[in-house]
Amino acid sequence: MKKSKLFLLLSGLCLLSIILAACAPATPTPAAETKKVRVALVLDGKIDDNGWNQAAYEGLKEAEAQHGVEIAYSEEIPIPDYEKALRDYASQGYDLIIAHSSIAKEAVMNTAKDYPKIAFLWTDGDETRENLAVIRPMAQEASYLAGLLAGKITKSNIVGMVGGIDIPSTHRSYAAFEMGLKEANPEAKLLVNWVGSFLDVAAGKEAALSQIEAGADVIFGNGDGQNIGVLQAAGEKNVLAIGAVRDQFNVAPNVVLTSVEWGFRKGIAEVVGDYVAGKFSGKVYEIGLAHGADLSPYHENASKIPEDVQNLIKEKRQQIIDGKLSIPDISSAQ
Amino acid sequence: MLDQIFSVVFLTGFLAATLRMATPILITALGEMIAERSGILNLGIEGIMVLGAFVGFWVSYQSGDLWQGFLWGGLAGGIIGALMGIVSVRFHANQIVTGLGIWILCQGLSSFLNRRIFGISSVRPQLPTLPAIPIPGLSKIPILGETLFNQNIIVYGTLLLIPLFIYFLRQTSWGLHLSAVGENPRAADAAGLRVEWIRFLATTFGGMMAGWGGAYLPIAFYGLYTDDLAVGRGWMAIAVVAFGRWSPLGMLAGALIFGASSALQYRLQAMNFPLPYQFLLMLPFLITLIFVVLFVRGGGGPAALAKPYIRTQSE
Repeated sequence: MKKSKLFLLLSGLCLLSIILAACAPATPTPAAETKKVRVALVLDGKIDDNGWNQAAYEGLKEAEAQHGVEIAYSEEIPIPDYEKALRDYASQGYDLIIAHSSIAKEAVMNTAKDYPKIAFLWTDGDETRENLAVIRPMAQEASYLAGLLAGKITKSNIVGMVGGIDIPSTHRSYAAFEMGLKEANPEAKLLVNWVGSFLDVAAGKEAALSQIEAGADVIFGNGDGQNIGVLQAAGEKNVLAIGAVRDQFNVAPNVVLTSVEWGFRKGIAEVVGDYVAGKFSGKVYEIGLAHGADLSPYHENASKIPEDVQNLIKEKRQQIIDGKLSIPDISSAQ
Repeated sequence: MLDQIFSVVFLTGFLAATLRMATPILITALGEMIAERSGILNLGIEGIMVLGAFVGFWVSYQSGDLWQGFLWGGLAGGIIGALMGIVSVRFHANQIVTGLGIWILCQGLSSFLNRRIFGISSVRPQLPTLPAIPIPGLSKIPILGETLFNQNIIVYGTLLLIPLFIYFLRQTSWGLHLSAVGENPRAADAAGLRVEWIRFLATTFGGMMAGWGGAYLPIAFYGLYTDDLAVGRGWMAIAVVAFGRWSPLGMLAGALIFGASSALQYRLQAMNFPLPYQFLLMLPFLITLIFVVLFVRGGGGPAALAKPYIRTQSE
């Protein structure tokens, strides 16, 4: 008797979890008749992480709005399952499949090889094929400009950087930021914290608070979700801050001067546009200042930045775009 | 570097952060201790904290009242605690498996509800957090005043719970009944105690405290909810219970050591301490481990911990 009750309860729980799983935002089933170009996006994290993944999703939405493509996405796909997710979309006949994970190399290369008729886009990847294009975010350019800004605006000569995990894409941004900082203000000291996570808001906040205690009066948050905590700490303590990956002004409108955008929104829309126009090829799209990997607008905080500093940044930005100034891509600790 | 460490600003910030990080772990651990003393090991509190954080945030956001959110965060935790109680007490299920199931259920449920209710927005909804209430006079004491007497009301409340729990466990008959049920349920049953009922209540209470421990995070400190806000704190609370050997004072020490080593880790990094950051991130766990090895001696907890009690079966 007791056994059967337990069984009933457990099967009830199982059923509940199946129902809940089924309710989760599923991939929309494609309508067979439409001639629309179908684009799928596979994410390794949460779509609302306010950073890396959300920026790609916004790019997909922008492509949908601009080019009238049909979109689908999967989120939180761990790397071991990444190839399966890509193959799922490929076997469903999607035209363009975007792999938004710099570490999913094997999955991307294998799938692209097996489906030569389907176009693939690998963001922050390092290898192309005929049917595989790569987006290379040139975040060092905007990061360098952010460093100049921080160096000119600090009064205590102590600037903080709170990063997520020290991987090539964040290291590139950190190294260029430090370069800009030292150039604008050789006296400035840079405090560096890596919190070991791209999600842990709590860790980001604690790390930023400890830098503020140590005297930092400008904080550069370098990463995704944990940046919310970083910017929030700056907002509470009224310390100027710089966001990253996408425009993070909204997190702390009282202090966020600008953000170092990585340009995925415009970059992904650009590649989808090329595909729709029949111009897709397996090339490297370098997304730098001119393509949207730029500093975000200053919004309401423009008045906090002296005019000569704004002009300096404008000038250096133009030099980079014109090719007169090149910022090295230092993407590893060595 | 040493002059940096022994500055007033550093010590004040360090101690305040210690208490801030210890509080949610301590609230949860106190509840778990009660459940464990009755003989139920609830491994689901990690998930219950996440659910408590979500419900606390959601209700606060909808009602505009932080206290309502805090209350409901605890109630949601209590409901899940009761579920754990029913399955493990009434149906004698394996507590390890049930606890892990509850953990996964709560995490999925919170992240599902979060997406359904708040959707994908570029602006995350935020709450104003509980203000710090400086205690007149005492908060002016250098270093300690700022740390101990300029905190939010939940921190004060948690510290006051410690003597209350000690009194409850040692001086009241309910406290003794609880321990009796966890040490030797058969003898307790023979003496006329309602073993199943006591275990069920203790587990429900443990769930409620875990819900409050989770709700503390968005309401008292972060002002927002993400699925990863509470991550790891529930496991830490389970460790703190064992570390403190099921006594409130020992658990206070355990939570403070963990809080202090986390707070220290961030500050060492910000000083550009010459060690790889991965090592510093490991520091809180390493220090906790060293303390366990050095200072935690002697036997385990309640003798009947995690053992289902079936009245009609002899051992």
